[in-house]
Amino acid sequence: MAVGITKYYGAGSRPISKFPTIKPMGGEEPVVPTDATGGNNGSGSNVSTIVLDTSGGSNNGYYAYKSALEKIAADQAAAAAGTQRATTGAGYQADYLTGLLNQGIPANVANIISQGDVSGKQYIADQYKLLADQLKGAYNPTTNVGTGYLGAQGRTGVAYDALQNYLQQNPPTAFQQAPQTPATTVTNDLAQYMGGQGVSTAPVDPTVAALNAAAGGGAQNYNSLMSTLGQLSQANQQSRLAEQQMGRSGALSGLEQLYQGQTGGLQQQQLQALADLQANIFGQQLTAEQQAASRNQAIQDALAALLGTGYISPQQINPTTITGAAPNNTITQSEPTIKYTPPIQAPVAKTPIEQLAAIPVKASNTALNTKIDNFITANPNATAAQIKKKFPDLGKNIK
Amino acid sequence: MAFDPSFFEQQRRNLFDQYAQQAALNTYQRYLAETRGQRPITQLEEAAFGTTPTGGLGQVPKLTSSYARRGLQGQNVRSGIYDQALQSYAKNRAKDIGYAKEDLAGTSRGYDLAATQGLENYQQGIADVETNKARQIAADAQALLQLR
Repeated sequence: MAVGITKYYGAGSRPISKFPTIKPMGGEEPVVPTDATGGNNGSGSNVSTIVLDTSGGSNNGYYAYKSALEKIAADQAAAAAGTQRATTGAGYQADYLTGLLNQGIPANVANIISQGDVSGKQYIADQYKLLADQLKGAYNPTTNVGTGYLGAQGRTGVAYDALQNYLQQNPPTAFQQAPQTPATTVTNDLAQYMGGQGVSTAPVDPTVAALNAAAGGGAQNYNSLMSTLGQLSQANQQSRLAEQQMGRSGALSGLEQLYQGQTGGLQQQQLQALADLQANIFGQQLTAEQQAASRNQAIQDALAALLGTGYISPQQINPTTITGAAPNNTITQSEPTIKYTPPIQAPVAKTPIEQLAAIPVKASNTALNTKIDNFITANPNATAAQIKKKFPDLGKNIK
Repeated sequence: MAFDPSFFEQQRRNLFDQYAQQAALNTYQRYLAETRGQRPITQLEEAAFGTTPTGGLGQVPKLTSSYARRGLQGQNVRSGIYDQALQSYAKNRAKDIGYAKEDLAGTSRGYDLAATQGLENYQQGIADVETNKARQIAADAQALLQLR
């Protein structure tokens, strides 16, 4: 069935005098027909005419050609849309990544570390207080029962109090209470008889007196000895009381010294525990900082890679406000101004034809634009020399 | 070492037993010494006067009769020899009795001193025990504190 096809050409166009030869399936490539102007660029001045397909099905090549043109257009549109989507997506991605930049240690991690610091210090303080209290102990004077330093102090005090009371209430009494010995006496019991006989007793009296004197001296010596021993005993008592006082002082001083030493050791352990905790917290903070830095670096790398795709430019990356709905609350985070440092990108060598395409040309110069487009389409792998030959002026910028 | 008061009670008991034994022995020895010391005194006193049927001292010295037999003493008889002999006897008698009494007193004082010293030692020993007890309690308290 013949299908009538009307081909309209715009102003300046000219009718195609010769349709392109349709390539049969598997045949050779048809030769592209040239128009009357010899350029075949659609810029002719003639107007197209209606062409009826009266080939009875032999014009399938034309449809294939038309279909190919439409596919190219669709591909171009799809490519443009894809580029648009990629650009938009890249922008969103850049915004997202930029929002994640420089956030530092996550708040929950920082809180955990901080809580560990606080609770650790509290634990150490509690343990110190517990041990210090145990070390100090308690004492009940009524029952004489106690623990720790106070218990030892209390028992020591009670022991020496008891000793002091005993010594004061039981002084040595042996010599003080020893009976004073009387002096023996001698009398001339013959005196009465001698008197009766008329014999004088005078010669006997000195002897009796001397004997009594000697006896008195002996008794006095004994009593003096007892007195001296009694004084010695009293001196011993005073010495014993002083010994009790010295023993009490020494024992209490020893307890105090021991207690201070134990307390000092406990304090040293507390300081060591605090130092260990501090080192641990510092280590955790350092690890968190390292992880944050690594995460930041990864974000920067991702941004750099994103920029490398070419869909967005650094200027399109702006700090943004991320607003999202958390399960229980709304997190609103405003990012501070971020000085973006574009990643260092290795220069990508462009082909000569890409360089030609990148050369800016005024849009009003449609002829030159068209010529360039046609050349690019027709010669996607053109060399710099070919380009310079075709476009001498523009070719100066081709490397 | 944990405090053990029974240890000190044992020491106190030993001290008391030792003191009681020593005091009892000393008292007994003092009694024997007194008996022994009193005997020569009694003998001296009896030797001068003799004894009465009731056990008391007699009134006439034994020595007078020997001078009477020789005519040196008696009624209306006076001699210097008798006077001198009686005075010498009185001196010697006083000395002997005085020395015997002083010996007895000295011996008794020795036993009294021993008894007093025994009591003093006992009291000092008990005070030592009490001191050691207090010291041991203090040492135990310190040892217990050191264990913490």
